[in-house]
Amino acid sequence: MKKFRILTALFLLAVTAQAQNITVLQSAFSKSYIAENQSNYQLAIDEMKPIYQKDDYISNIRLGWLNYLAKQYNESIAFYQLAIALKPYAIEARLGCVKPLSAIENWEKVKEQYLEILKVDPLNTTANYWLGVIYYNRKEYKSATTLFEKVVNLFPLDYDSVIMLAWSKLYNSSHADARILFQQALIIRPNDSSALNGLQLVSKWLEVNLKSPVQTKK
Amino acid sequence: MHKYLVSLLLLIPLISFSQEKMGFQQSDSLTYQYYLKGDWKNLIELSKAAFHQNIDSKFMRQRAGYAYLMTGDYTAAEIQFQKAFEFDRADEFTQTYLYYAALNRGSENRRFYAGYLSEEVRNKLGILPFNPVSLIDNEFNLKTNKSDSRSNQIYYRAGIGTELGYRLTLYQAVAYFRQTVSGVSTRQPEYIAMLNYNLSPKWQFKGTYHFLNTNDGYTAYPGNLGLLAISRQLNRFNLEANGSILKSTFATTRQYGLKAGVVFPGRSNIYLTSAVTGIAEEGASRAIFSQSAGLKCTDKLWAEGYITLGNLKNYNTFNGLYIYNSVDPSIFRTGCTLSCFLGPHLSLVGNFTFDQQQIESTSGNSYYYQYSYSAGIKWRL
Repeated sequence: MKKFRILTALFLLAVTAQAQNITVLQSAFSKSYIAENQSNYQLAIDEMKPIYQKDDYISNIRLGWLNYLAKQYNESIAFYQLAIALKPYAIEARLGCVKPLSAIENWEKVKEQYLEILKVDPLNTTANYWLGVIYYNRKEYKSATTLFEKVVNLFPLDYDSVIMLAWSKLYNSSHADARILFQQALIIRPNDSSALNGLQLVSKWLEVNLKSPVQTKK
Repeated sequence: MHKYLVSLLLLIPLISFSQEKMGFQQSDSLTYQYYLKGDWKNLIELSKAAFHQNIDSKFMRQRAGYAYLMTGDYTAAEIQFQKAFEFDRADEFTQTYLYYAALNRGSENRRFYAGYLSEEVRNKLGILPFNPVSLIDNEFNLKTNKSDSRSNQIYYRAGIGTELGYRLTLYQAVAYFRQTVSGVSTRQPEYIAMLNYNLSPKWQFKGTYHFLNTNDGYTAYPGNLGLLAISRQLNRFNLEANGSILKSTFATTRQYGLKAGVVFPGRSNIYLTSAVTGIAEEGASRAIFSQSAGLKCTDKLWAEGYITLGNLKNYNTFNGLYIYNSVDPSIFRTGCTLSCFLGPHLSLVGNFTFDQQQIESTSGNSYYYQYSYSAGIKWRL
């Protein structure tokens, strides 16, 4: 009986300590959120420091984000990488890491993160779209087309994806597809200058190629 | 006394400011301002401090690389552009200046980086993916001595370079050596093929085949050399390991070498290269130590001095381009080379070498001195 009482007391003590820990954690996060809302990012980081544990996913994510806001990009990347190591399948950690990586223009690492996300979630819209943008900027239109197509299949009325797919198709010499997509973009966003420019280019191309002697003979 | 104390107190804030932790925004905007003003000295100093504090970005690396390029420190420029390249392989500014840094440095990575240039830039610079004749070179060498039984030595070489791709280059040459020893005229036509493969800007593989057709007019004593080398570049350091085997009528010689080089910061591009070589031949082994140092004297003139210690019998150097298999081995060598770059295509090379030669004899070795004069011309197409 005496033994049972001791065990119960120890259990209650542990539960109370844990509850206290959670309270401290919640309080630190709360103070950090307030500081962040006041754009005092360094204070928001400082509020997190007493409760920070290297093996805690949420603290690493929080510090990754706050360091990004404080423009301390390399510190931010380091925290996000710790979070990624703790939860390798967590997409949010990788999407978070992309922000400081983009800020320092480390496009190779940004690309790596998006590719990792697509391994876990092949239809992830953000990853497909932004990886498509990277390929498009590198003039790798074929790869860009494949990725934008995935997004447009999921969100046919998303203007950004439709217009990017249209331009990728145009530069990939799929003029007929590009024309349809530019027209679709004009339905979503009437009088859109990018879509109008694209349509003009498609029309010019068709004009030149339909007038060529080879085409006429056919 | 008070005056000094006040001065010291006034300096404290300045010292603490320079040691203060910089932010990304501050470093980024200041380096950009220095870049726009062309203030290369401050740009380099600030970039160094920022990178040391783990503040880094593609643009900051590009600006630092450009500043080093403008101040003539091409090795540092290449290192910075390599870092920028790790950030973004598709950036045209990085690609172009990485190529220029390697070109000015005379780096073997020049061709590798050319592969990353856009087609438009490649066309503008006249760079071809396959270039059957990328360089032509000629070398003439005369070795004189005061020995009664040894004539002067004559050597000449004509070579042609081929760029087989952006990573693979081939150099082929024919050479001819002649000397009369105790009334017997020795001639040695040679053929050399050297392949160079860049796996990456940091890793390189080299392979050489060298054929020697030594003959005295009546009998031929052919020899074949095969060499493999791997080299690794670590920022300012370069490490190389090589191994070769020379099979001739007289002996089989195995040679293993380790080479390490460093280029110091600064526009003089001062460099040091040390090499340790082990040779195993006929059951005996010996070691050779070689040290060279060089610098850029002016934009068009480079100078190098070197010293080699050890018995150089059947020793090969410059990755098997030269094989020292004359009848009397050199046991001490020192010399200097001047390279003059007369334009983007033409360069001239002059060399003087002093050798102490050993005449091996069962009754005891004797020695004589040899003075070597070389002139070379290289035309890059």
